[in-house]
Amino acid sequence: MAKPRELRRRIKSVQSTRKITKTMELVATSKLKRAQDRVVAARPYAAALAEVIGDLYAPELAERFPLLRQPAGGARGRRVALVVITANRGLCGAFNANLIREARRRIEQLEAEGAGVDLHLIGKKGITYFKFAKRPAASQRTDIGDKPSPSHAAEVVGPLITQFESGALDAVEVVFAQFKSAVSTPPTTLRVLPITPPNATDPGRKPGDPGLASGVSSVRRSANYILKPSAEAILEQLLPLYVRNQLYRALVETAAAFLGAQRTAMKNATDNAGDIIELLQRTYNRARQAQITQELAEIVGGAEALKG
Amino acid sequence: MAKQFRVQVVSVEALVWSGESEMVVARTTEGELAVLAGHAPLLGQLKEPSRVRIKVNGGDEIGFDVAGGFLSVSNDDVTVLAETAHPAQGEDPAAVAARGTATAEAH
Repeated sequence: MAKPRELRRRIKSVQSTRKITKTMELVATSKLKRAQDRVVAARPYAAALAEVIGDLYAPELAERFPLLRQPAGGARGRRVALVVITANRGLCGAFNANLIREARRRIEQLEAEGAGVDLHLIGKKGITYFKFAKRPAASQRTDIGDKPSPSHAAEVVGPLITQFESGALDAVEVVFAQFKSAVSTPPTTLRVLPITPPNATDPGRKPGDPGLASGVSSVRRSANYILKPSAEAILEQLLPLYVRNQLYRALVETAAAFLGAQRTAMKNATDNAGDIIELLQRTYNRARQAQITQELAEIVGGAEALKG
Repeated sequence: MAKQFRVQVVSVEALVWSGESEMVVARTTEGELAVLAGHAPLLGQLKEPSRVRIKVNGGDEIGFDVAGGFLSVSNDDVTVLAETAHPAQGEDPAAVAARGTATAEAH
């Protein structure tokens, strides 16, 4: 049986760990609240943008816009840029591991199809992993923290848009954590280029399953629009905005998802620490009581012996 | 009283303003235009930079400085889509908020 003093030391240690995880849980919770607000705040714009593009989109326009051009023929020899968003920090359960697994799955899938993959890594955890896996990245950055801004998104996706337009890239995809709720943050791959025309009737909110080309209704509607200056000029401005916005949302959702995952992980850690403390405390009490009982028995035994 | 319709001003990061309005005046790349209730569907690119004026109930006007913006009118709904949108200079954000239903600061 462990010595009481040893047990006391372990109880102290677990208690201080619990204090730390508890604090981290609280910090994550308050940050999560704000991150969640940002996700929600970004929705009206995304929804409005998707609606406008859905209304404007017509198949015959697709031919004229490089950003809408669907890849022709097979996948062989294609170049795909994969933007992998992970967190800068750990202590968030399997959050980063899930994202990395999703990224690896997608890379394998693309390479099996014969496509070349350029990796663009955002977040320290992804960078560390791919360095370990000895896979070179086309670009990497760690300066996007808990508060991604639209300009971050523009910086990341801007060069990719240019490359895509020039034909150097055939597709751009993003691996990110979808923020369904604080406890459900499935890793998701979203194709941002070529643009899949958003479904006008189903705006925004479906990163995992970008709406298919909207049906006849939206095309018919676009014919009735008064357009100033013209559909072409407007689309030319709108499409890059749409791409940037999709990336912005991926960043914001991942940031919120990370905090959600961290809060859950820290809550579990705190609960576990509580259980361990309870167990140790009980063992300690028993050991202490056993010692007292034994001492008493010795005293009584000694007194009996003296009585003789 | 003129007929009212719903107006939303949204920027990338937030819904900046939404509420009922009698008239929206904006300057597109092709010239200034005003939208009243019952306007035909319209999609316009706003001049850069530009100010969108929203006339609310009682003749008050709210101005928004908008960058990278579009104006979309459909089914008596007006949406101003912008990369950034702020209440115009001289407008008191709190007063602007009071005249809309939902408000969040863009930055």
